[in-house]
Amino acid sequence: MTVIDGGRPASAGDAPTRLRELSDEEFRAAYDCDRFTAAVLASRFRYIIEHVCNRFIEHAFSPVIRESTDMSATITGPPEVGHAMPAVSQTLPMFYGSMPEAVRIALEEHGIEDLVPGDLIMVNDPYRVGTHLNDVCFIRPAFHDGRLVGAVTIRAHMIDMGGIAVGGFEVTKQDLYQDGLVFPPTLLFHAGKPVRSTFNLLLDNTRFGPVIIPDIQTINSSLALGEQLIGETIEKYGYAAYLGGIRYACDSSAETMRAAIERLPDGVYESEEWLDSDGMREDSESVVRLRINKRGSRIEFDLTGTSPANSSAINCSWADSKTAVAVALKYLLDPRTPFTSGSMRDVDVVLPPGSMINPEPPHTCQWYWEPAMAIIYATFQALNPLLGDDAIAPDSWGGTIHYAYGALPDGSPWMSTALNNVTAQGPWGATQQADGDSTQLQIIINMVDGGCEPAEADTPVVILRHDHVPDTAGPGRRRSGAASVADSLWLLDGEHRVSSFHLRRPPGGGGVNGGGDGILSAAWLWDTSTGVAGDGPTYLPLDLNDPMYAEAKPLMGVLDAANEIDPAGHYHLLPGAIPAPAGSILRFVSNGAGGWGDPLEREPEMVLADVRDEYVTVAGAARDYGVVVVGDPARDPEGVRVDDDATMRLRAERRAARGGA
Amino acid sequence: MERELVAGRCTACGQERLERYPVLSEGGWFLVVKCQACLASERRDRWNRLGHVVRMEDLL
Amino acid sequence: MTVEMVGVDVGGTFTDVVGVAAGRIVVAKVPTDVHASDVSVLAGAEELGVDHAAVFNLASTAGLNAIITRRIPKVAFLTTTGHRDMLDRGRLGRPLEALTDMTWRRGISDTARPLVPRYLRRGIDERLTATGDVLIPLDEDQARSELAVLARCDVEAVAICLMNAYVDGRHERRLRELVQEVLGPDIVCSISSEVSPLAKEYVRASTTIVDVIMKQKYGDYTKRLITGLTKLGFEGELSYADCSARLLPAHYAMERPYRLVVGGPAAGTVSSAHLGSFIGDDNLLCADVGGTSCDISVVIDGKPWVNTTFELEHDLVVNALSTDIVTLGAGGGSVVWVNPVGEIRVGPDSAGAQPGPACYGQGGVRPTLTDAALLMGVLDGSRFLDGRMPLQDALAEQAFAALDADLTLTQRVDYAWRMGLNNVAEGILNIAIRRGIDVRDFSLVAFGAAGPMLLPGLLDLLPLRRVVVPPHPGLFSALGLVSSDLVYSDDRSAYTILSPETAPDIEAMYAAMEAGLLERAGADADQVTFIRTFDGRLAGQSWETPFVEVPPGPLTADTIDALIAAFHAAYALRNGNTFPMIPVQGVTFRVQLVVPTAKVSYEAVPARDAAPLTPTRTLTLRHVAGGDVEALEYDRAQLRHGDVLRGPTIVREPMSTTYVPAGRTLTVGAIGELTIE
Repeated sequence: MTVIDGGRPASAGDAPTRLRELSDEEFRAAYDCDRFTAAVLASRFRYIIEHVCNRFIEHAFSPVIRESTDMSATITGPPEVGHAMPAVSQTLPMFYGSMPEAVRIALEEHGIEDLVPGDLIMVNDPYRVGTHLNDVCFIRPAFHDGRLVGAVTIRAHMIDMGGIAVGGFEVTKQDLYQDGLVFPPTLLFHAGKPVRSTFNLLLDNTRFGPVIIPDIQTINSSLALGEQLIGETIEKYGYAAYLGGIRYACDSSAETMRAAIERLPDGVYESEEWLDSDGMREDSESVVRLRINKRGSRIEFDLTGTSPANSSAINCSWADSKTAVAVALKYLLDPRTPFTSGSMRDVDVVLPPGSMINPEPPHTCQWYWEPAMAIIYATFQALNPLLGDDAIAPDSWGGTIHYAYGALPDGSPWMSTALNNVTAQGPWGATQQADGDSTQLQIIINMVDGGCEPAEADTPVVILRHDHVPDTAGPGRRRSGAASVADSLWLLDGEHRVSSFHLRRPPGGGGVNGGGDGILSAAWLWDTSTGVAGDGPTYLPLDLNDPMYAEAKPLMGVLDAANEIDPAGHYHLLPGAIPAPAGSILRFVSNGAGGWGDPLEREPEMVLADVRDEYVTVAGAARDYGVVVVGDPARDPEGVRVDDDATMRLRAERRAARGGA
Repeated sequence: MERELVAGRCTACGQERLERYPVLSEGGWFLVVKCQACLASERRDRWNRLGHVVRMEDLL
Repeated sequence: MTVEMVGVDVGGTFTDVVGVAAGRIVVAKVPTDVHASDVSVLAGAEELGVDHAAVFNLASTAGLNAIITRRIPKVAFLTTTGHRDMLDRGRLGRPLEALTDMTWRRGISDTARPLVPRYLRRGIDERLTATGDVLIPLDEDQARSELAVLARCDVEAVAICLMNAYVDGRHERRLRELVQEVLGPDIVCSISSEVSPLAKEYVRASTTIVDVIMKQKYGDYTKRLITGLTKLGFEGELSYADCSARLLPAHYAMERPYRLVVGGPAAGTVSSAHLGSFIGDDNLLCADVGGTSCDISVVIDGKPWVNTTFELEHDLVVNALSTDIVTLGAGGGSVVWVNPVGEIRVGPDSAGAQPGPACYGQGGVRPTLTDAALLMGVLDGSRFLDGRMPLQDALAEQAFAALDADLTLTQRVDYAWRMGLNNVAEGILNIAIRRGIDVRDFSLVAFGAAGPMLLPGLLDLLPLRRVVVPPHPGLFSALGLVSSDLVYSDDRSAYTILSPETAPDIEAMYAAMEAGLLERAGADADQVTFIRTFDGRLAGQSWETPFVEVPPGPLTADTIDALIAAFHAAYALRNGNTFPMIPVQGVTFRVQLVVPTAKVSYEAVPARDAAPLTPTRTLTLRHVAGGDVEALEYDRAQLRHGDVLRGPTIVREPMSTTYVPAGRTLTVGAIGELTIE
């Protein structure tokens, strides 16, 4: 039952006795405390992490922590429980899978016997701890009465780690040397005092030092709080019960994940998920291939056949590939119970060496979330068919990133970042319970959005539109949210960079259980030489079919000769800087997402409401849903109605045509 | 390190379908000998700390 | 009977009315008529007699309840073309429990329950920039054509929020004229530049919508109330409590009624602060344990901790100053359940008032903390609510027995009780860490019907200074409505770097807001005090440090440095760091005008005379860790200043029970408050 080095009771033999079936005596023998204490301790670990995160988030300087909560925190046990991780913060899902490895690897490499109270180790090497250089792990070994009792760790996004690109977000970076500063496990504080050589190495090779220093100080004090709370826990319950609580928390989540896996039918399930390009060349598509083998409570994810590592930033290390599997399983099978290192107990992951999901140095992994998301959505494609009504249609994937730079009239620089509301956010997919929300965050992130006004106060941009676009959702008995459009007017000359990797095919295979796919995304630029932007500020029509697109410079998308979105058209990719003079208008259209179930079974009243609300046009209602709506939704929205007889006839025709096909 | 066949029978299901290969799971990388029929592990030995990644430090 | 001051707390089930007559607290409890709560309020007023009352202060959660249940008027929303979906989008983000749950949906989105359906959200062709310049002029023909659509749909109210209107409201004001032209002069309309001229369009828009809903619902309500009170002979001032339980005179409150959307819950915090002034304690954790939850708030240096926004439900936010209240799943009705691995857990689900705890015998089958208290013997089933509602042990026991867990009854009850306490302890620690306070410096005020029985047990889990049970714990929140001052306030956003050049603009903005407040209050400048604060940030930050106090005296190029220094000091206090090298940007500037008003006063309780302190009986506490134990039971009315009781002991009063666990000591204070240490 305990998590020991190399011990694998679940896969090696029969599943252990369920926790709730243990007698009081057996329970105490396994966990050195009674049931109540074990339950309190399991909660306690999660609360300690919440306290640590709140201290950090509320006191952090940088917006990326404070508002985007681009961070994560964990508690791990001491070496005698294999550095098991009983609790992780509910922040970024893509951070948590690799944290137990990160702590174990860093402490072992540093030398466990060399640690003393007040040490803080920093490490950001993706090959040791996953994600990318910006995400630095700060690991504080926790001591109590002179004994090493575990570690408290924060992984936080630092706004710059050096390298060729300010802030790091440049997809054409070719290796770790262009990427930035790589820290192997390195002492940042020793016995409570800053290690000056480490701070100097960091500050001399990165930008924005004055902002980084206070965030590091806040991290250290937040981790010290965690260590103090662990100490108080041991004082109150005793060391044996504390270790028992760690084992219990991990065994609990192993048990719930095992139960979820057991519910799947045995078999071999295969899928693949594609990325459009490496961000540099149009003919550089890459693929994640997945073969899931499931027997009883055991499951194996074999990713053999996945494309080789890219010479751009589109790679993720082995640690994130494991995280991606963990996150996919959480979403599909076990969304609500706490994640611990035990969640992966019955899961084996096989990763081909040299691939984009298990590369070797000096490949850069700056865009680690793209291959990781491909693993997540390959998993959706493989398992959704087994889930029946519980299948979940994928989201729009998101991941369109825009940066712009320029100079103010006084010569000082301005910058518009990925958080500036310039791109269009796509929707979520549908489930049996409900239509998807339009304009949602990519499923692997979570943050608070401040809106357009702060962006306009800080940067020379006017966000002209953030609208949902009719007939762009993946149709279904439950439809996805609608795709959205974002138009921005630039008030000063600037250089723009855009990237996106999901323009060629619907993410995650699109709709489920007969649901349809949403539209595919694109972006265009009209500069002041065009008729569209040349006559001063104006609203562009919402339509995706319009002669104006022919005038535009396409920035990304699969487009026809008139620059309109067309899956049979030509794939556009524009790496590097794109100059745009003052007065230029940028338009981004997001992907749609997947529908759930047969659109011909959608309740006609719901289609009517969608027409009234302009999520679906009158033509779209007939084409996508077989529902005949009459009336003028734009001018008389409450006057629209369903023609029941015509709808019945149209749906019957559609079903008959389908039967013949 | 890729998959290789291993002679012998699976103790759990009795089939002769054992293979040796590295896997990533709870606790990190393991070199397993595992039945391809029932996925039971005959052996699970701790493998390289960083999996396939070769560290130049090891050349010291 | 007639009283000098009245506080009324309109709840979902009961309307609590408290009055003060010759220093004595009198109460009335009237069932709330949810469709016409003014009738209940007037019934309570009549029962107490208000013809000599100087103040009549009302708090109601009717606005909140109407909005979260969507029993709201048909509202239209006008915004700049291209932005109508800001209401569907909100601030993005999902609650932590939905982090990996793709079945979660935003409650405000068009797929769930939007406040305004998309077809009633219309875009108007116009655009101001962030500096207030006209980028695209207001197209009046296009606006009239959109309004014609709304006229066809018979909307009852219109909210207007245009992009960057926090900088300049001219387009909004003109658009309101067009609304009245097309939809009629009596249409209820709110515009964001008047309601809440703060940056960040989504929250300003949702504030404006909540405002227009409140106007539509409260306008006639206020008229009916004033008519009714006048009939009862009331000649004093009618005021409403806002989201921080400050009192706003009714006519002033109705100008921007979004501020009243949750009157009530904050009253307990104000009540605690007021009590603190009697017992010499100004650092308080306030814990209101009712039927459904445990609400925690903080008083530091005698002042409630206030937020700049209030979230009615996930991402439905208003720009209202509101007391920061954290809700924990540990009320009397919090449900005890078993998780998949067999652990006993408590809340956040609640049995509520219907069906209520199993022991109520109203059909509830899930055990709650109240059922645990009954089985333990902490509650006396025959004397619950003064004997008006006998509780049934057998039903409580059945409910616990039905839990799917391999545990004895004693384990079930004991684990549930301690897990409930554990939830509160962890929640309080969390609040303390966020506010940067040390719980050892804080007293916990335990009130609400279930607070005094549950919370003294916290002393075993947290190093609190002490637990204080106030007089009238069951009515303590309502007493907060006669414990507060009248406040007039105004605020507006203007992103301004603090510098000698901008000082005159900032001074002019404050002076204009102050002049407006003076006029509203009908007071002379030399009779009142203004409190100026601002929310500011370091250049480059996306979030603000709120309520930085502005040094006294007019702001000039010479005194602006003191303002900048005040920001850095406030920043250091909240965040532990200072960045004197980074410029400071003012974002929102705020003014308050405080008018002192009559408040409740607590009477001294005499010291014990010759009569000895005698318990009413000895009882047995069961299902507690360590086995059954005998405890003495006392009647609170018989306690005197200076009495000391040792736990385990039980103190009963008509609406509440105090449970002092073994090892703790209770001391009766000067105004009858019970202090447990």
